[in-house]
Amino acid sequence: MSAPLPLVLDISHCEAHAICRMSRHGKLAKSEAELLQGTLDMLILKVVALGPIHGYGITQRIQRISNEALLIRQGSLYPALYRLENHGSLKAEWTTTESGREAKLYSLTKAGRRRLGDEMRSWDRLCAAIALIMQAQAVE
Amino acid sequence: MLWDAFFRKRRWERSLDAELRFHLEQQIEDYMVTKGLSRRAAERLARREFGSVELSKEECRDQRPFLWLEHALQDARYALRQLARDRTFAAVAILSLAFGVGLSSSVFSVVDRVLFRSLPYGDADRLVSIGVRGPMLPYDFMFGAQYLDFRRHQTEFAAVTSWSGVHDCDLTPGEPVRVVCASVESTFLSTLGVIPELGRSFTAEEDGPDKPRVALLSYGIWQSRFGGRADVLEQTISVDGQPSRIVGVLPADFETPTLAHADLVVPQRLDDATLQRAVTGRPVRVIARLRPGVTVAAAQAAADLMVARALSAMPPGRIASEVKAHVKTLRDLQVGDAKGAAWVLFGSMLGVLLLACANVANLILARTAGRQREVAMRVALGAGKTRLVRQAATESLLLTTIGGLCGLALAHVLLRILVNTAPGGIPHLTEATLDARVVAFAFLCTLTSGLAFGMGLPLAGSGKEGLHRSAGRWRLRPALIVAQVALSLALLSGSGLLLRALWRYEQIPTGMETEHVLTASLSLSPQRYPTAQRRLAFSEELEERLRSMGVFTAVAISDSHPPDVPLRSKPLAVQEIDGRPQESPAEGTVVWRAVTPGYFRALGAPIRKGRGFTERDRDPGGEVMIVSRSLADRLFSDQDPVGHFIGSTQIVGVVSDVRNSGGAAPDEPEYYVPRSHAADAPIYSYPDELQRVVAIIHTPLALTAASEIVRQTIAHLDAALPVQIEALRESTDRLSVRPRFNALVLTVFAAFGLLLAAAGLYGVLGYLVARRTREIGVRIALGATRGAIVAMVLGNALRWLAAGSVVGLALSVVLCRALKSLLYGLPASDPWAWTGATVSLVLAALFAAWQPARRAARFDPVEALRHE
Repeated sequence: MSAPLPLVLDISHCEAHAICRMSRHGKLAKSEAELLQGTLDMLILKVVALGPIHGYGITQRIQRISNEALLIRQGSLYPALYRLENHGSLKAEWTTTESGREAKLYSLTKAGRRRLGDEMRSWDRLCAAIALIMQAQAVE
Repeated sequence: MLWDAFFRKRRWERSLDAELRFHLEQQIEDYMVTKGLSRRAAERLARREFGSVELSKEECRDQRPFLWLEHALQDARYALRQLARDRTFAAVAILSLAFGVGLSSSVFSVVDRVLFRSLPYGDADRLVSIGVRGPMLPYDFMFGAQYLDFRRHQTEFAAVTSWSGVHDCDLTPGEPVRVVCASVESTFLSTLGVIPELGRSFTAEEDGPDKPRVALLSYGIWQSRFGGRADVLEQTISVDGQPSRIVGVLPADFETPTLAHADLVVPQRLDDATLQRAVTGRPVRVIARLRPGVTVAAAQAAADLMVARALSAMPPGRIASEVKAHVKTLRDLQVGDAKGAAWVLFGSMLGVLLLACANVANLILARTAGRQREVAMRVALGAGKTRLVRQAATESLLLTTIGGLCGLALAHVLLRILVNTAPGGIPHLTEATLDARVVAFAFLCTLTSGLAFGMGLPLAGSGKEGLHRSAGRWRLRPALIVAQVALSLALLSGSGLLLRALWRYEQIPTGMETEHVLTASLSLSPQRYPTAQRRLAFSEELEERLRSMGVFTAVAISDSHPPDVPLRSKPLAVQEIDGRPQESPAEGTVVWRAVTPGYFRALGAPIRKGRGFTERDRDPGGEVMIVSRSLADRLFSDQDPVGHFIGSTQIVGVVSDVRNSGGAAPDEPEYYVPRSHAADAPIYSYPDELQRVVAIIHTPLALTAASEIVRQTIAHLDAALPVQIEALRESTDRLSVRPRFNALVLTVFAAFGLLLAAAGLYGVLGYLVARRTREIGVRIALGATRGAIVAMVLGNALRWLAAGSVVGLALSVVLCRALKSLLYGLPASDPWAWTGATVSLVLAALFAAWQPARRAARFDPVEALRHE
């Protein structure tokens, strides 16, 4: 019970106030969108790198690996998957699972692997920079 | 997989649906297992967790590849639907565009060939023609000695060359065939920057009267007579009976500087010694290439200096003041007075194009203004500005594309019509085809106007305010109408002016009776008729035979026939009257013809004073002449010229003036001398004299029968002689071909322009009435009569008309001044033309305004008040 509430990764999180605006493009603060979008993409790519997996599996795995700290909204997952597929980082295939159902499995392409590497590196840089600032003592 | 998203949408949708459904199913099962819920409870929870499935689907759809293409297609389909719904708008807009693009493309193609096309010479803009225009010859020339002097001492030109024009010559390998030869100096091709297709140009050694003869073939004759074979070089052909070696072939696009056709190019065979001797002979036409940095003005100054120097060497006389040096670029030389017509076409084309663009702009403005609420609604529903702008742009694009394509088809048709009805003398007219540049230009114009106005509305603050704001573009539309009225008035005045000039031109009496008269023109080849005696014998034999036919009322022989220009001219100033030089020498030239006594009878030109020629005048001995009335007026003012002498020839009669300028220029004074029977008479001393023979025949027979008889008579004398037989009526009709063409073209443009302006006015008035429906309803309810409403609407129209007329008047003045050269003497501020233009404009405007006014007056006030 003392676990912190899971971080809900949701691209539309920031737009809860604009009820009447139906369009997703435009007014979103650029930096927020970039950070969230980029992070989500990176997480998805990492999970898919571990093996071909379908959408539901991705949410489950992220939840499990992060010890319930990260929760991906389905509303943001699937557009992200389609976007990644469009850009060539992922490729998708319909196969039959063990339970006999038809599922769309995503796997990483070579470009995707490269992209994952890039994203990880920039994430590390970002984390290091933020850590430095957080540890800064007051000067004088 | 990616392509699926675009080409097989349904499958893609099903796949998406299945994927999301799978997710939900897995989630439901999970909840059923981990939380122990029933299926329904688990489903409820799962769906709540998932959020809106449709929304996710929407977002996934937005991630599709080629989304922009889909949107574009969507926009295009929507635009088409809108156009189909608003058929009047579409029809008027497309018609306006078609007219605009069609007219401008076809006219521009013609004009481009005349005004802008590049000449087939190296760096053609640096080439000029230099010469003196004296009263003796109709082109700029220099005498041999002056040319030599000029060539030696000039500094402004990088290269100077000369040529002697074109002349007929006979070509004989095989059947003798009459071709055209151009005589040039050896440096001609190199100065012009023309590289022969095959072989070489002439060398300096080939310049000279005694040098071996060589020739260059034109591309056309190389293909047609020599089969395009490479072994023509070093072959020998016989030109005018002399063997000449072929040394090269000219490129396919070669043309002489005056656009005169030439099949062969031969050396003019003038070496420096010959030139030096020719102080007042051997006229040559000079072409020079300007040095880089030298302007035409500098060249003109140099030419003036040269003329002054040359004239100082000759005895001072009255000729001197009339001799002026001319330097003009080759293009000006070629285009000549087709330039006037070409610029008229160009200007009126621009006018009509502008009118069409204004119309399209007006229409689009009206439409977008009317759809403001729709646009505002879409913005409120979440459409992005880019999307709206893109959609408006697609609509304009579609409209202009359809209009443009129709215009292209129209342009093809118009071009064919223009080419077939245009008078001769417009260079390269038959080669005019629809140029890609031209079409692109017209397209661009209409596109810009369409896009500019179509996108204006969505771009400029179409936020929520749009729902409340009324069309803020109102000022613009009447402004466009005023502009259209002005342009239309200008075009109409120009057209009226040209029509008046045409009418006036055709009223000028020809001075002869043109019905029942035939002319037969032929040219004796120097090969078969080498001496003057033989040629004279031929023409006398021909005259005798024709006269003895018995079916012709009058037969005459001359060397040219009116209204063509006579072959010989003299400066008026040097003529001595009664043995004394003139006190105040008259200016200009006098032309003359040698004719047989039947001439005046055959043409029906009445003798005013004195007598005509008799057969006795043709015997060697006394010299007599008959002068035209204008010559008598010039030299003798009120006196009776009969009995006086000009030079050593006595005047025996005065005949009324006959048109002799061949077209636009004013007629020259003329005199006639009898054709002597003696071949060595001084009148035959001119070079190539007696070579051209023209028979003028007056006959009561049908002209076809008569021409057959004439043809056979000539064939009996010489079967191989080519003859051109024509009715005199055709020759005189040709006189007004050019003014008629000009007037026709401008009238067609003015008519189109008027139509476009009227359509525009109709549209705007209709819109005005629609916009003010409530106001009109209130007025009617408050007691305004139908007449008052009509007056209100018409009042608007008249206001715009007045404003447009003022601007149009100013434009007309400018346009009519530009048309001056095409007016044949009519003053450019003819009041009839402008009155006619205004009246037709007002009538058309009233006609266009009547329908909306009537509609407004018929409003039911109750309905009008309810109208939003």
